Amino acid sequence: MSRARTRVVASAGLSVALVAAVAACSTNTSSGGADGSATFRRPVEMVAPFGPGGGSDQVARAAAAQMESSIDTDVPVVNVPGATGSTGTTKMLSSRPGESMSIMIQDTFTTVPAGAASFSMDELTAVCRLQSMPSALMVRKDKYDDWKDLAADAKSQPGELTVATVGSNSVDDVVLAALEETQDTKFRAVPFSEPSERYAALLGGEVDALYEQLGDVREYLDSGDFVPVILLSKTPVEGYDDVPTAADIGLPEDVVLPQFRGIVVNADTETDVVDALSDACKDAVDSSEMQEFQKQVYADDDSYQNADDFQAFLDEQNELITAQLDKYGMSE
Amino acid sequence: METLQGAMNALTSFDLTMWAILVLGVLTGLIVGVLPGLTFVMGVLLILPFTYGMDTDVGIVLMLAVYVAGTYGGAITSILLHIPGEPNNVPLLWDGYQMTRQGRAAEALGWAAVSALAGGLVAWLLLTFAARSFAHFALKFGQAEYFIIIMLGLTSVLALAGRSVLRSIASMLIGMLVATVGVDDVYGTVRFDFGVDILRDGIDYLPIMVGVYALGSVIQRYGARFADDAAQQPAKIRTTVPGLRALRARSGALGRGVVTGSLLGAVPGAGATVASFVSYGMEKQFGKHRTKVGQGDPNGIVAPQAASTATVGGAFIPLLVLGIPGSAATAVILGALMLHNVQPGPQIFETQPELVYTIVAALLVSVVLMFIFGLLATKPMVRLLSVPEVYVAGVIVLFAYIGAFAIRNSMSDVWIMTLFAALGFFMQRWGYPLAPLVLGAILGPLAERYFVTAMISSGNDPMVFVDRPISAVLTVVWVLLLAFLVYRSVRTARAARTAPESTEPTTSYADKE
Repeated sequence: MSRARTRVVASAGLSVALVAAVAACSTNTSSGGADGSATFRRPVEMVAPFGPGGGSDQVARAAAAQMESSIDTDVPVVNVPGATGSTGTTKMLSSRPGESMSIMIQDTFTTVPAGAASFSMDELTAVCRLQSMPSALMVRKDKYDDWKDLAADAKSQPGELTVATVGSNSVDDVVLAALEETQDTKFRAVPFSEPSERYAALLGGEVDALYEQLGDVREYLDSGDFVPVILLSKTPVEGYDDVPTAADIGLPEDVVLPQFRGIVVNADTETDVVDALSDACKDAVDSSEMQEFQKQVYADDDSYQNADDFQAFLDEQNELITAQLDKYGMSE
Repeated sequence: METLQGAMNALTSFDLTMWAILVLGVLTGLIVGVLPGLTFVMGVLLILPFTYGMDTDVGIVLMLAVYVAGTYGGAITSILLHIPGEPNNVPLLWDGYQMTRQGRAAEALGWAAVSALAGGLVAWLLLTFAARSFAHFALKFGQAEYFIIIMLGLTSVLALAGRSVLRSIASMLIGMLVATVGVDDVYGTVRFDFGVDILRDGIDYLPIMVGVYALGSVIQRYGARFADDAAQQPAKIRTTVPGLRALRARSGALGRGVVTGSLLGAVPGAGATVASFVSYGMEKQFGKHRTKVGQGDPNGIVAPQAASTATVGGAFIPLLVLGIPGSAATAVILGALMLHNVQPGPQIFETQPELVYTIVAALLVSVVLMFIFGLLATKPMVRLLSVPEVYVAGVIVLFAYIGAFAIRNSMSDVWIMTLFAALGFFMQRWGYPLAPLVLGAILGPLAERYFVTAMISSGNDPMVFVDRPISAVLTVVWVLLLAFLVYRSVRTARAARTAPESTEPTTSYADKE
């Protein structure tokens, strides 16, 4: 009996020690960048606030792999999907400043003025813009020929045709609202958090149209399964000269919000750390590996912006999107 | 036929590097599967950076091997130690661990290995011969269909319930409620965080699973003062690999598991976990040994394990044919392919046939290697059980805490796990089954997301669940299942009331644990 009790006590003691050890690991202190030279002593985590395999995940991984060599530390990528990117951004903010960054895309950004974000822009500082790329409204082949065809059907049954979108309060919703106002076509937006489900929904006929970046569905465009009917782009896209742009069908220019993907960090991050990350980001975008990748996904040639330019861009976007949301009655 | 020819050519052209990568991948997958909290999806993600520098085919083969073996590794710890290494191994606890306590650990492990082999092989055949038509069939599943499949999984909980149906439902509702904490998936609203940061990040089902099962059972064994010194008396290790005749006797369970797994693997959205729960539920409801399932019957291992491994082949079908990943792990693999500038999809069979054939060949090899390593591990693993239980308990605690921390590298999951270990202990004391709690936490959020999305897409018309052929069939199956369950539980309850007070209530093991 007493032997058994000794064992129980020993084993319980072992458990407690283990818990303490694990706890100690997580509260390990660091001083990355504190000495003013922006040396990185600890890994800088890159949060991809969407699921694995999607556009944000890919650009995060492509950039992280290149940035590692520039700042001479590990840049592990973690996927924290949910709520149009809000969940992942919140996760980044709860980490130590300077040890975590996250991808900010336009859809996540839009949730802020829409009043649906779980963070505020004051909590964030821009690091760099990685991509600026065209989006499109597309349909399944053989279902509709072009925008006129789709619009005619949409007008005959207002609110019945469905469009797969990335999430509520996203730019996708703004574009649909602008279409409703200028083209008199009312669609029903269906949010899908998983890209795979979004594409399967259009391929399988569960939805009538899809709002997506051209680069993310290149394979279906090349195979002809998906047909873009409106391009949300200021400049023409090679290979899609016949497809009308938003301006061609009379959408206001403000609606042609370029889809962007960049990097943001906690606003408390030291300036020299931000600058070092911004430079590393430029090295990444300039690398031949990423150039190839950017071309593949139709990213613009002038995609990269440094910390200051990206911050200015975000401020400008904030105004634009707020105005759009007010105009279409989508703000809180 | 062309695919088979190509795959065989690829197989013969594998060089030493490729074989080494396959072995490495399978071993990594087994280890990842064993560690609770570190799921095979995370395993594939962790391996990803290492594949950047590799050739495309080598990198993909490595991830594929991790994925395949990851669906099986957790079976070993579920059966031997009551630690579900992966969420899809949870059903293996019910019959597998029970068999271990009956001294039939080797037999249970043998069944798990054989089922994983069979599931993997059949899904491989499907990928080789029927990928295109199967992929197009899987596309017909939409959000409404996914929702009903999840409901089938949740309903299987009633099958586990034995007599305490109400307590099972209560337990399941607690699980579902806990899973709603955090940022909601569709609208982004923060729910039930009570201003606490830990809660704003949400409560993951992994710490719940590890807490109530692994840690919870250790607490309980502490309470029992580790009555028997060794965890199992491994006096006679009977059979390890089931013979052909035994296999034929369980071919029904095997078949049902494989079909469920392949199909649920191929539809984007459901993965190994859903497949495993649904096929266990079917076995418990309709299987030949349904009365014994839950009390240490091999069928309770065969069906879910075959289904789990079959999802791998299933998930590769839409990935290769359509460019749509069928599961989270294949989504990671898709990302890796795209970083290597390979776009899987309708054209990959024409543009990159060698890569497709390599993947098909590597799937076959991985499944076989997983089986071989699994069997080789059986004997030493079983011997581990002759170690006094108190040391085994220490190992379980170690694994549980490493696993919980590994989920998101955050202490909050460690606290949550500890909390749920306590909750699990008390629930068990008061006679509330744990399985429904875990099931609710895993499937609840999926049910919510599919339900909301389906309703949005139909403009809030509930007819969406019955107006397409597949959703209609699924709904009918689900309603029949529900009706049957209600009928059966009412009948048992009445029988129990009229029968003379028996000494031992006929509760199943799943109910007691």
